[in-house]
Amino acid sequence: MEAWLGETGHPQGAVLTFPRMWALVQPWYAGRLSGDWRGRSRAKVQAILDGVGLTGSFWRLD
Amino acid sequence: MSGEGPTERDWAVRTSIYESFATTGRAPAIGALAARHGVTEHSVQGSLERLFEAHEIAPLPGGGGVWMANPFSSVPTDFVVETTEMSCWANCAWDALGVPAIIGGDARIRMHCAQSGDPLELAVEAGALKGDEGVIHLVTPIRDAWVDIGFT
Repeated sequence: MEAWLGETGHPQGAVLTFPRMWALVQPWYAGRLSGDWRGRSRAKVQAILDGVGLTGSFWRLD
Repeated sequence: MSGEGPTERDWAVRTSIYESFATTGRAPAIGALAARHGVTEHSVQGSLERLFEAHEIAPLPGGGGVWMANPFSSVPTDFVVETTEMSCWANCAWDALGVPAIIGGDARIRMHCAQSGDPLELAVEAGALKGDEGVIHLVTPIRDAWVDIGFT
């Protein structure tokens, strides 16, 4: 990954394993196919991120 | 920017977009959305604009229809997901895992490592993720995700 960052010039952001991402997408995408979906508040989004342990500055919405 | 949130018609259009992706793997055409909802194509374009402002979907540049309805992409990407019902493209690695999450059921996911170009294959079987190991690197902080959703 370090080589890729050097080649692309991107700063290092957040790194997640596939299992961690799988844990995130469950609540992240819950309900989004429903005809009742009307979006999600910033507070609820933050709670989802907090709930899977994504609490660093990269994951802050404010 | 209208400054208004999506209308109930807009949300209904969104539902149709997601239904199309979930069942066929493809976005519905503007004309099909207009016919389904009994409105003009111009009206559908307005819905897409308001849904984009609400960060619900991303339209194709130039008004050609839907580009993204996360986790789905209307254009080919490196992130291919096959479910029992359809095959689709996801926008990124996050969204590639998001397809079986949003639909439920089993899936096979294929992508390539951005560094080495090596193929990566994952599967979801009975709710469990299986397959190649690796990491997902995210460049854009979450608060800025929709500043340039295509880059994100």
